[in-house]
Amino acid sequence: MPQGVTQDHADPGRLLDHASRLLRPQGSGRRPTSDTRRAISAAYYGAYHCVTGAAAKLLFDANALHGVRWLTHSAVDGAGRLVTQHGPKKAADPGHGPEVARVHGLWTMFQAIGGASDELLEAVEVLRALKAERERADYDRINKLSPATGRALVADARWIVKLFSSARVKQDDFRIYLSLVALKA
Amino acid sequence: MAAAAHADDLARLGELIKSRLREAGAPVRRVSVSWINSDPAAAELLVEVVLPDPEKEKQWGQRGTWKPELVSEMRRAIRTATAEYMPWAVSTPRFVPVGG
Repeated sequence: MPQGVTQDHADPGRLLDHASRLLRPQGSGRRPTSDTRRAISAAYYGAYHCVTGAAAKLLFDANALHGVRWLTHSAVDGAGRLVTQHGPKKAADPGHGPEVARVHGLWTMFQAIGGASDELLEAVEVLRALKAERERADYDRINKLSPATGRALVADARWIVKLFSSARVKQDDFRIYLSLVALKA
Repeated sequence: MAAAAHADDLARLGELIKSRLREAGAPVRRVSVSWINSDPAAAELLVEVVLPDPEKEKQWGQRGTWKPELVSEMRRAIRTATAEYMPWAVSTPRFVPVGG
Protein backbone atom coordinates (compact mmCIF):
# COMPACT_ATOMS: atom_id res chain seq x y z
CA MET A 1 0.00 0.00 0.00
CA PRO A 2 1.32 3.50 -0.76
CA GLN A 3 2.57 5.37 2.29
CA GLY A 4 1.61 8.93 3.28
CA VAL A 5 -0.83 11.29 1.63
CA THR A 6 -0.71 11.45 -2.16
CA GLN A 7 -1.20 14.97 -3.46
CA ASP A 8 -3.46 15.67 -6.42
CA HIS A 9 -1.52 17.95 -8.75
CA ALA A 10 -4.41 18.09 -11.24
CA ASP A 11 -6.99 19.10 -8.65
CA PRO A 12 -10.28 19.85 -10.48
CA GLY A 13 -11.02 22.98 -8.45
CA ARG A 14 -7.63 24.46 -9.25
CA LEU A 15 -8.04 23.68 -12.94
CA LEU A 16 -11.35 25.55 -12.92
CA ASP A 17 -9.86 28.51 -11.06
CA HIS A 18 -7.19 28.62 -13.75
CA ALA A 19 -9.92 28.53 -16.45
CA SER A 20 -11.79 31.40 -14.78
CA ARG A 21 -8.63 33.52 -14.57
CA LEU A 22 -8.10 33.05 -18.30
CA LEU A 23 -11.58 34.47 -19.01
CA ARG A 24 -11.43 37.47 -16.67
CA PRO A 25 -11.27 40.84 -18.47
CA GLN A 26 -7.76 42.24 -18.50
CA GLY A 27 -7.57 46.03 -18.49
CA SER A 28 -9.50 47.68 -21.30
CA GLY A 29 -8.48 45.32 -24.11
CA ARG A 30 -9.88 41.96 -25.11
CA ARG A 31 -7.95 38.88 -24.06
CA PRO A 32 -6.48 36.78 -26.87
CA THR A 33 -8.73 34.00 -28.15
CA SER A 34 -6.06 31.49 -27.15
CA ASP A 35 -7.00 32.27 -23.52
CA THR A 36 -10.63 31.28 -24.22
CA ARG A 37 -9.44 28.07 -25.88
CA ARG A 38 -7.14 27.16 -22.97
CA ALA A 39 -9.94 27.96 -20.50
CA ILE A 40 -12.38 25.60 -22.26
CA SER A 41 -9.78 22.85 -22.33
CA ALA A 42 -9.03 23.31 -18.62
CA ALA A 43 -12.77 23.30 -17.85
CA TYR A 44 -13.20 19.95 -19.55
CA TYR A 45 -10.22 18.45 -17.75
CA GLY A 46 -11.47 19.74 -14.40
CA ALA A 47 -14.79 17.97 -14.97
CA TYR A 48 -13.13 14.83 -16.37
CA HIS A 49 -10.73 14.48 -13.44
CA CYS A 50 -13.55 14.96 -10.97
CA VAL A 51 -15.75 12.28 -12.55
CA THR A 52 -12.93 9.77 -12.98
CA GLY A 53 -11.79 10.61 -9.44
CA ALA A 54 -15.26 9.73 -8.12
CA ALA A 55 -15.24 6.43 -10.07
CA ALA A 56 -11.72 5.64 -8.81
CA LYS A 57 -12.79 6.37 -5.23
CA LEU A 58 -15.62 3.89 -5.62
CA LEU A 59 -13.18 1.27 -6.93
CA PHE A 60 -9.91 1.94 -5.13
CA ASP A 61 -10.94 4.07 -2.14
CA ALA A 62 -7.78 5.52 -0.52
CA ASN A 63 -5.72 4.53 -3.56
CA ALA A 64 -7.98 6.40 -5.99
CA LEU A 65 -5.23 8.64 -7.37
CA HIS A 66 -3.12 5.59 -8.13
CA GLY A 67 -5.94 3.71 -9.83
CA VAL A 68 -7.53 6.58 -11.74
CA ARG A 69 -5.28 6.20 -14.79
CA TRP A 70 -7.17 3.01 -15.67
CA LEU A 71 -10.16 5.20 -16.58
CA THR A 72 -10.44 6.83 -19.98
CA HIS A 73 -12.18 9.62 -21.88
CA SER A 74 -14.01 7.11 -24.07
CA ALA A 75 -15.19 5.24 -20.97
CA VAL A 76 -16.72 8.41 -19.50
CA ASP A 77 -18.32 9.16 -22.86
CA GLY A 78 -19.58 5.62 -23.48
CA ALA A 79 -21.06 5.30 -19.99
CA GLY A 80 -22.83 8.64 -20.46
CA ARG A 81 -24.34 7.50 -23.73
CA LEU A 82 -25.75 4.38 -22.02
CA VAL A 83 -27.29 6.51 -19.26
CA THR A 84 -28.89 8.88 -21.81
CA GLN A 85 -30.38 6.04 -23.82
CA HIS A 86 -31.41 3.55 -21.14
CA GLY A 87 -31.55 5.60 -17.93
CA PRO A 88 -34.69 7.72 -18.29
CA LYS A 89 -37.81 6.39 -16.60
CA LYS A 90 -39.60 6.56 -19.97
CA ALA A 91 -36.79 4.80 -21.91
CA ALA A 92 -38.12 1.95 -24.04
CA ASP A 93 -37.40 -1.63 -23.01
CA PRO A 94 -34.50 -2.66 -25.28
CA GLY A 95 -36.06 -6.12 -25.58
CA HIS A 96 -34.69 -9.58 -24.96
CA GLY A 97 -32.06 -11.72 -26.58
CA PRO A 98 -28.32 -12.21 -26.25
CA GLU A 99 -27.41 -9.12 -28.33
CA VAL A 100 -29.27 -6.77 -25.96
CA ALA A 101 -28.75 -8.65 -22.70
CA ARG A 102 -26.36 -6.03 -21.29
CA VAL A 103 -28.50 -3.02 -22.10
CA HIS A 104 -31.62 -4.83 -20.94
CA GLY A 105 -29.89 -5.45 -17.63
CA LEU A 106 -28.94 -1.80 -17.40
CA TRP A 107 -32.46 -0.65 -18.31
CA THR A 108 -33.87 -3.01 -15.63
CA MET A 109 -31.55 -1.53 -12.98
CA PHE A 110 -32.63 2.00 -13.82
CA GLN A 111 -36.33 1.03 -13.94
CA ALA A 112 -35.99 -0.53 -10.48
CA ILE A 113 -34.93 2.84 -9.03
CA GLY A 114 -37.49 4.89 -10.94
CA GLY A 115 -35.06 5.94 -13.67
CA ALA A 116 -31.93 8.06 -13.63
CA SER A 117 -32.42 11.43 -11.94
CA ASP A 118 -32.66 14.63 -13.99
CA GLU A 119 -29.35 15.65 -12.38
CA LEU A 120 -27.52 12.59 -13.72
CA LEU A 121 -29.15 12.87 -17.15
CA GLU A 122 -28.07 16.50 -17.35
CA ALA A 123 -24.58 15.74 -16.01
CA VAL A 124 -23.76 13.15 -18.68
CA GLU A 125 -25.00 15.58 -21.32
CA VAL A 126 -22.85 18.39 -19.92
CA LEU A 127 -19.83 16.07 -19.94
CA ARG A 128 -20.50 15.25 -23.60
CA ALA A 129 -20.78 18.94 -24.44
CA LEU A 130 -17.59 19.80 -22.54
CA LYS A 131 -15.71 17.06 -24.40
CA ALA A 132 -16.99 18.28 -27.80
CA GLU A 133 -16.08 21.89 -26.94
CA ARG A 134 -12.64 20.89 -25.69
CA GLU A 135 -12.00 19.15 -29.01
CA ARG A 136 -13.16 22.28 -30.83
CA ALA A 137 -10.99 24.51 -28.61
CA ASP A 138 -7.88 22.40 -29.11
CA TYR A 139 -8.22 21.37 -32.76
CA ASP A 140 -10.58 23.67 -34.70
CA ARG A 141 -8.33 26.48 -35.89
CA ILE A 142 -10.95 28.16 -38.08
CA ASN A 143 -14.12 28.86 -36.09
CA LYS A 144 -14.07 31.32 -33.23
CA LEU A 145 -15.04 30.64 -29.64
CA SER A 146 -16.53 33.52 -27.69
CA PRO A 147 -15.64 34.35 -24.07
CA ALA A 148 -19.39 34.03 -23.27
CA THR A 149 -19.29 30.42 -24.49
CA GLY A 150 -16.12 29.90 -22.44
CA ARG A 151 -17.77 31.28 -19.29
CA ALA A 152 -20.84 29.08 -19.82
CA LEU A 153 -18.62 26.00 -20.13
CA VAL A 154 -16.59 26.86 -17.04
CA ALA A 155 -19.87 27.31 -15.11
CA ASP A 156 -21.00 23.90 -16.40
CA ALA A 157 -17.72 22.31 -15.33
CA ARG A 158 -18.03 23.87 -11.86
CA TRP A 159 -21.50 22.35 -11.55
CA ILE A 160 -20.10 18.94 -12.50
CA VAL A 161 -17.29 19.23 -9.94
CA LYS A 162 -19.74 20.29 -7.22
CA LEU A 163 -22.10 17.44 -8.08
CA PHE A 164 -19.47 14.69 -8.26
CA SER A 165 -17.77 15.92 -5.09
CA SER A 166 -21.05 15.68 -3.17
CA ALA A 167 -22.87 12.85 -1.45
CA ARG A 168 -24.94 12.40 -4.62
CA VAL A 169 -22.28 10.01 -5.93
CA LYS A 170 -23.36 7.52 -3.27
CA GLN A 171 -26.90 7.34 -4.62
CA ASP A 172 -28.01 4.47 -6.81
CA ASP A 173 -28.17 6.16 -10.19
CA PHE A 174 -24.74 7.79 -9.79
CA ARG A 175 -23.23 4.50 -8.58
CA ILE A 176 -24.58 2.75 -11.67
CA TYR A 177 -23.06 5.44 -13.89
CA LEU A 178 -19.67 5.38 -12.15
CA SER A 179 -19.63 1.57 -12.32
CA LEU A 180 -20.29 1.80 -16.06
CA VAL A 181 -17.36 4.21 -16.42
CA ALA A 182 -15.17 1.55 -14.80
CA LEU A 183 -16.59 -1.28 -16.91
CA LYS A 184 -16.16 0.65 -20.18
CA ALA A 185 -12.50 1.42 -19.42
CA MET B 1 -29.94 2.35 -41.83
CA ALA B 2 -31.34 4.62 -39.16
CA ALA B 3 -28.82 7.46 -39.12
CA ALA B 4 -28.21 7.69 -42.87
CA ALA B 5 -31.86 7.28 -43.88
CA HIS B 6 -32.93 10.05 -41.54
CA ALA B 7 -30.52 12.76 -42.65
CA ASP B 8 -33.55 14.75 -43.92
CA ASP B 9 -35.13 14.47 -40.51
CA LEU B 10 -32.47 16.67 -38.91
CA ALA B 11 -34.27 19.83 -40.04
CA ARG B 12 -37.56 18.49 -38.68
CA LEU B 13 -35.94 17.61 -35.36
CA GLY B 14 -34.49 21.13 -35.29
CA GLU B 15 -37.98 22.59 -35.76
CA LEU B 16 -39.38 20.34 -33.03
CA ILE B 17 -36.61 21.39 -30.64
CA LYS B 18 -37.12 25.05 -31.47
CA SER B 19 -40.84 24.85 -30.72
CA ARG B 20 -40.21 22.95 -27.45
CA LEU B 21 -37.62 25.53 -26.40
CA ARG B 22 -40.06 28.36 -27.12
CA GLU B 23 -42.80 26.55 -25.18
CA ALA B 24 -40.32 26.39 -22.30
CA GLY B 25 -39.89 30.16 -22.52
CA ALA B 26 -36.35 30.11 -23.91
CA PRO B 27 -35.34 33.16 -26.02
CA VAL B 28 -34.09 30.95 -28.85
CA ARG B 29 -33.09 32.68 -32.08
CA ARG B 30 -32.02 29.70 -34.18
CA VAL B 31 -31.57 25.94 -33.87
CA SER B 32 -29.50 23.75 -36.13
CA VAL B 33 -28.95 20.01 -35.88
CA SER B 34 -26.03 18.14 -37.43
CA TRP B 35 -24.21 14.88 -36.96
CA ILE B 36 -21.21 14.55 -34.68
CA ASN B 37 -21.24 10.83 -35.40
CA SER B 38 -23.66 9.30 -37.91
CA ASP B 39 -22.58 5.71 -37.23
CA PRO B 40 -25.88 4.10 -36.17
CA ALA B 41 -24.12 2.22 -33.38
CA ALA B 42 -22.89 5.46 -31.81
CA ALA B 43 -25.15 8.13 -33.30
CA GLU B 44 -24.59 11.55 -31.81
CA LEU B 45 -26.17 14.85 -32.81
CA LEU B 46 -24.91 18.36 -32.27
CA VAL B 47 -27.81 20.67 -31.44
CA GLU B 48 -26.64 24.25 -31.79
CA VAL B 49 -28.91 26.82 -30.17
CA VAL B 50 -28.34 30.51 -30.81
CA LEU B 51 -29.40 32.70 -27.89
CA PRO B 52 -29.24 36.41 -26.99
CA ASP B 53 -25.82 37.55 -25.79
CA PRO B 54 -26.07 37.17 -21.98
CA GLU B 55 -23.84 40.20 -21.49
CA LYS B 56 -26.00 42.50 -23.62
CA GLU B 57 -29.49 41.16 -22.79
CA LYS B 58 -29.20 40.93 -19.03
CA GLN B 59 -32.65 39.44 -18.40
CA TRP B 60 -31.28 36.11 -19.67
CA GLY B 61 -27.84 36.42 -18.16
CA GLN B 62 -26.03 36.00 -14.90
CA ARG B 63 -22.30 36.63 -14.35
CA GLY B 64 -21.55 36.80 -18.07
CA THR B 65 -23.36 33.60 -19.00
CA TRP B 66 -26.95 32.36 -19.30
CA LYS B 67 -29.01 31.69 -16.19
CA PRO B 68 -28.45 28.09 -15.04
CA GLU B 69 -32.17 27.33 -14.68
CA LEU B 70 -32.74 28.47 -18.28
CA VAL B 71 -29.91 26.23 -19.52
CA SER B 72 -31.18 23.23 -17.52
CA GLU B 73 -34.68 23.70 -18.91
CA MET B 74 -33.33 23.92 -22.48
CA ARG B 75 -31.23 20.79 -22.03
CA ARG B 76 -34.25 18.88 -20.73
CA ALA B 77 -36.37 19.99 -23.71
CA ILE B 78 -33.65 18.99 -26.21
CA ARG B 79 -33.07 15.64 -24.51
CA THR B 80 -36.79 14.81 -24.48
CA ALA B 81 -37.36 15.85 -28.11
CA THR B 82 -34.36 13.82 -29.29
CA ALA B 83 -35.47 10.74 -27.34
CA GLU B 84 -38.92 11.00 -28.91
CA TYR B 85 -37.82 11.65 -32.48
CA MET B 86 -34.50 9.80 -32.80
CA PRO B 87 -34.25 7.40 -29.87
CA TRP B 88 -31.20 5.65 -31.35
CA ALA B 89 -29.18 8.87 -31.12
CA VAL B 90 -27.97 11.05 -28.27
CA SER B 91 -27.81 14.81 -28.52
CA THR B 92 -25.12 17.21 -27.41
CA PRO B 93 -26.43 20.75 -27.02
CA ARG B 94 -24.26 23.76 -27.77
CA PHE B 95 -25.42 27.20 -26.70
CA VAL B 96 -23.91 30.13 -28.54
CA PRO B 97 -24.57 33.86 -28.31
CA VAL B 98 -25.86 35.79 -31.34
CA GLY B 99 -22.87 36.67 -33.46
CA GLY B 100 -20.80 33.69 -32.31
